[in-house]
Amino acid sequence: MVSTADVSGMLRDNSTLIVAGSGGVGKTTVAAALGVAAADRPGARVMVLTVDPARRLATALGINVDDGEAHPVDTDSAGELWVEMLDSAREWNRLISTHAPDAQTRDAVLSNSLYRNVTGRFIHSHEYAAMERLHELQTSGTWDLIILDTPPSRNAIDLLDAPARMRDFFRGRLLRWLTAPATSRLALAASKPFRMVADRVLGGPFLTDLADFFTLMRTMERGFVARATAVERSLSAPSTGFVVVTTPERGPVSEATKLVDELGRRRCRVAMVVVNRTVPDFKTTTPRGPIPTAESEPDPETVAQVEAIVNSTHSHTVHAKRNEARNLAGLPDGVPVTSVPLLVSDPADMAGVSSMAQILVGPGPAVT
Amino acid sequence: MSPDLIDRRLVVVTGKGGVGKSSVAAAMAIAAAERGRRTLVCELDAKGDLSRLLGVAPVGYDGVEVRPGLIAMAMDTERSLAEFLRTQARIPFVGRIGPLSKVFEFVATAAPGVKEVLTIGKLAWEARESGFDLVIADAAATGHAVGHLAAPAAIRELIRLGMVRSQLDWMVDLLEDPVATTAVVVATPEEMPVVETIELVQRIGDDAHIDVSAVVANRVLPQPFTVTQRKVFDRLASRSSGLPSFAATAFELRRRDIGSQHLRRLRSNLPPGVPVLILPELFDMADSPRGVDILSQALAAEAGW
Repeated sequence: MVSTADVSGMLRDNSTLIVAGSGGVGKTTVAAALGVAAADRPGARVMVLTVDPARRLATALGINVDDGEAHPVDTDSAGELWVEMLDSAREWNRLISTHAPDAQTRDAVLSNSLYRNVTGRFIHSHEYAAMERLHELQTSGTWDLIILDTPPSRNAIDLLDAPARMRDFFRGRLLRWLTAPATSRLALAASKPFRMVADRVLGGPFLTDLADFFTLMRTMERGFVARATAVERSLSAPSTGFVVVTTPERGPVSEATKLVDELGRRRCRVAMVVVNRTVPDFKTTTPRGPIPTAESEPDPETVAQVEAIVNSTHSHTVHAKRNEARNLAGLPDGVPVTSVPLLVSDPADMAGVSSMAQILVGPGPAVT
Repeated sequence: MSPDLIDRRLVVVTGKGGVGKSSVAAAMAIAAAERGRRTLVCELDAKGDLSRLLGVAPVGYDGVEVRPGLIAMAMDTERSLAEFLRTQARIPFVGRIGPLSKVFEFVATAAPGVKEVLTIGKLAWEARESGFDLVIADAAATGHAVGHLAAPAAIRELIRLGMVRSQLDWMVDLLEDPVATTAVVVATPEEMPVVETIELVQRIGDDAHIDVSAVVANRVLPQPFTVTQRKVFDRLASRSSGLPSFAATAFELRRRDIGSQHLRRLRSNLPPGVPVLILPELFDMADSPRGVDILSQALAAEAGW
């Protein structure tokens, strides 16, 4: 498949690229490769923020840190490439410290057992922390381009929903009820069934712990809600583009299609679809060499067997190529698509990531 | 000595995204059911891959018998909560709590372990209480999986009293008992999946205290040539390298050789006693019910069932 997309233009025209797609399609590698390609401009400052708990990007880029700090990557590009691994727990602590009205509240939250057990341990907390950190980087003014490698989630929609979920959480009636003084809580007849269920199922002490925690959280409502709204707005900003990554297989392609549609509904701009690991084109490259005569010819029967295996391997790839074209025809119209062929081994080091960057950007405009 | 994989009560199949977890879970379920185990296989994320791979219409929370002795279902945490309240908490007026989904969304956002506990709780309950010999979970990808498995123990630290506490007690006991529960990690013979698998096997043991009984290496390219044939191929290739058919074959051979190196690395970095079961690359057939049947036979042969 010929690239129909202008990757260089995309890297130049966006200030944030959010790389999304279903699990195992190579999001992290594509994010890293886009970072390497973007950093190849004099003076460019590019940040790749990865949220992947499995530390793939760090390994790929030859750094081995997950301390939530930005680290420069050693490349021979003209600009600078930095990488940061999101540290969710640290990000949450930072959030609490920012929004707490006073030191006492801050310390009470940070030492609350519910808070300590919940943050960092479960996936949705990563999603909000990622959005929050992205916003922080965006407003720092330090970066020409920020590339966010999204966390492995069932779909990227969970990520997009994170700010709204946070806002709804603070604004919900249940939070108000739970944090209301016990006497007025009793007075609310409508809440009786819920209270009965909650008491019976969760036990009184846990409910008290919850209420304590939520009462603390409520003191930070304004800060959190304002922040969530700002984070959400930045997702549909004109300078933010989404890069949807897929493989040519049927499942990932249909996931990618759903994602593109959903992003459209949310007025988020899809800058590009990257199809990773397409079947390579095995074209005839050099003329058949002269037949060596010095050696004895191999046994014709074995030659026939080998040729049969070679032909069947090739027909497999031809068949796969056809299947691939059929799957990719399902991608939505009007979105630029580029593809990266399957490599002998998946890029796992700087050299591999750089060659993927080369493939993505292409040979550049031909000079005539 | 732990019992054979299919003689446990609960098997959690996990691994990095895109390695074929659903295919392996489906193949294992078919193999177990064919060997007389009444089996429940449950898809934890609601993508519908499992149903497609089993060749049936999308299954829901209420299980469907897809083959003799094999029931398939898809997890729905909200249904799991309603079921828990009705059958365990014996709360007869679930319908009157108001919009249960609102309460549920609130609780799930406020205490993010709740969804995980409801998921693993349903599986554990089916494994302990209902008439199944074996429950197989087609679990979420790497990051989520440890969260799921560790959730009951984590939530138990927070809840000291009440009905949920006693539920969590037996749930943790079941999960941490290697005779009853085990995890199987699926990988492909590539760099990143192998690195993540080694790490994941460690974390399932250390963070979730759950036994890992096997790693399944999926999509392993077969060696197409005998030694003699390979020599002949190399000779023919040296004069035919420009032909697409030889280029395609040489490419596959190089991928296979690199894959073998990754497999060796996987084997030498797993804890002793965790075998690597090899399943073949089925190319575009992998994603079909026919492919799953082939994998099922290959898995049974590898595991010696």
